[in-house]
Amino acid sequence: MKKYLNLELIMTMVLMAIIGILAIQGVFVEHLSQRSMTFPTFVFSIVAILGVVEITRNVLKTRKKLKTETAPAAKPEPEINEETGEVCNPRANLIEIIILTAVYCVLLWLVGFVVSSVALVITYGLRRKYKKPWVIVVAGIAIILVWYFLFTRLLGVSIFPGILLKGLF
Amino acid sequence: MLEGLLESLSPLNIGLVLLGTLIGIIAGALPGLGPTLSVSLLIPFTYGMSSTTALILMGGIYVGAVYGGSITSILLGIPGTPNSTATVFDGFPMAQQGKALQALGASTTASAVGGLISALCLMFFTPMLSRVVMKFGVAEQFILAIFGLSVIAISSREHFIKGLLSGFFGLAIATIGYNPITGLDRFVFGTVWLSDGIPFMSAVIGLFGVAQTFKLAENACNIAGGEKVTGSLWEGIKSVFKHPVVTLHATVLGLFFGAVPGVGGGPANLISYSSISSAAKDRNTFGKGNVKGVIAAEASNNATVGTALIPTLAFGIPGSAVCAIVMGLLTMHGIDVGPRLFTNIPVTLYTFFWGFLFANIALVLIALPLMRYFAKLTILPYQILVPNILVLCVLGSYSLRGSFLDIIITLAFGVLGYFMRKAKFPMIGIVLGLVLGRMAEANLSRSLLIHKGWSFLYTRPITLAILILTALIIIIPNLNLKKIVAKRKAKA
Repeated sequence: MKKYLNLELIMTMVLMAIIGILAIQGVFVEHLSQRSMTFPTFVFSIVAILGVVEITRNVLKTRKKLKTETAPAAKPEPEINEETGEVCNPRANLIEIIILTAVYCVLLWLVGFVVSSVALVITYGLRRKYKKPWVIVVAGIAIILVWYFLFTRLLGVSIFPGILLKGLF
Repeated sequence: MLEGLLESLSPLNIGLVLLGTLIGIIAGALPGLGPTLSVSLLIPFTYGMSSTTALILMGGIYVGAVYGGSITSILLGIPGTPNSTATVFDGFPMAQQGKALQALGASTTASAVGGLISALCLMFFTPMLSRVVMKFGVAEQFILAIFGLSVIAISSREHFIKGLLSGFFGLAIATIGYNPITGLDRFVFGTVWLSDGIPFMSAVIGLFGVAQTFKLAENACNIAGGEKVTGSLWEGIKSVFKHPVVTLHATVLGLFFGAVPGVGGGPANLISYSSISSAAKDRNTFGKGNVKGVIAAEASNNATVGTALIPTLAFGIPGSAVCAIVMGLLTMHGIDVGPRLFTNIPVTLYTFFWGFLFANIALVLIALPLMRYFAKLTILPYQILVPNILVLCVLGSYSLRGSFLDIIITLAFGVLGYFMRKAKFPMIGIVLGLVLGRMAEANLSRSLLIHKGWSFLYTRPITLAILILTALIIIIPNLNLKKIVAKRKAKA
């Protein structure tokens, strides 16, 4: 079973799951009228049919590939970053940025745009071992302040202040 | 008309055209701002101005803002405005190949050409075109939405099922929020925040901007993947004239979609891109850095600008939020829009039209010299670029409605977009579904109510013609495929 799992199959199932949640919400929770559900029902049905077709196609393609493969493909040699000497690990880089984004989102809610954005820019730059750390710190603070003044003072667009620092910004 | 031309050539008005276009370019380049907000921010400043001054400044900002979105689309992969979504598909890959200058040159020139033709149409053909526009009702708007959705099928031929799945998923997400006919909330999970549905720009900033940020971070390299920006601005400018058929095809599509009320630049650039990419001989190179993709998107989106004003001026029916603001400004300065306008066109209106035309020339004069500096963004180290792009996405998303939920939506769509792209789901499908979903549903419901059934599909000539065209566009390319498959089977 595990050998049939690939990203394309998982993503198809995720899309169908999202539509399934919407359908359950509409029919069983919100008790929407038939008139409200006409167009969504049509669209959700098409998504379900296409999802099943895509899953079937994917499983058949994987089965054919497994039958024709004789030996597993050789793993590519890891790349080394010339600047830092570290081994490049795309998966670790991706997990790192997703976690940082989630933490940024929480900080944004708590302390607002300016503080959380400066923290994000400096943390990421220092973690990725940029050759001139002082540039990261100075540029990070300067750029965020430029965005802040451009949007709030010049364009009159509000910026999220954060629930803890609401009075300050 | 001559008086209007002479008035628009005064030093003050020329200066205002340049200033307005520059402000518009900067506002359009910042995701989440766009032409609507930029033009509406101008209104308080116009109270003390003469009508000509206010209209010329507004025209410059409008033209600049529609173009400005292409800068971030190409350099950062974040559409600055809904009108520049399709520019990302080929503009950003060009930047990744180090050809940012060529892409920027092509987008600037294509925008200017599309905008100039649109301004000329507005000036000379408004009374004639307004008679055609009058014939487009809800049935025609519904079938145009279907036409727009059908291009998903032809533009994602390599991944046909995934393209359709992506498109219908986008349609499904577009049903979240209030029902456009009954006004009742749907799929809102008991919150008021989702009553207005998923904001298109928040979703698109996530699907493209945040997803691209994750990809840059994953690969740990800058946008251009190297130390230098290669390619030349002049090559980009020349490419627009080297592909006149693409430029004119995109411009005509933009003129058409701009004139139909309720459609506008958002769908126009996507449909134009898909239609041109699927008809091209080198269709496999689209989405991988083909300059024709940039030309198709940008010529059409600026071509919508002038013709979008036709229903506004001719009938007093604004086709978009920006047109509503323009109508307000015109009324505020003593110009009553509507059918009587063209029996005795005031000089002020002609001055506005000429200002509009000059704004498209100003676009080239202002934007091209600055592009060399903008292009250097693509060689900035990823350690600086990645977090700053993320911050810009968050800012752009929040500035739409001032809601923290929009930031969550952007980040969620960012994660979804990243994995969908990795799993080879075409992005154009989900974007078209999001932008056309409400339009399709609302106009279908209205058509069924007005015509008491599906008879509108075959009793209205324009609807029938577009339906047949849609069917042909889907069937003909697939007929060729079947022939190729049959030939290969016969050989084997």
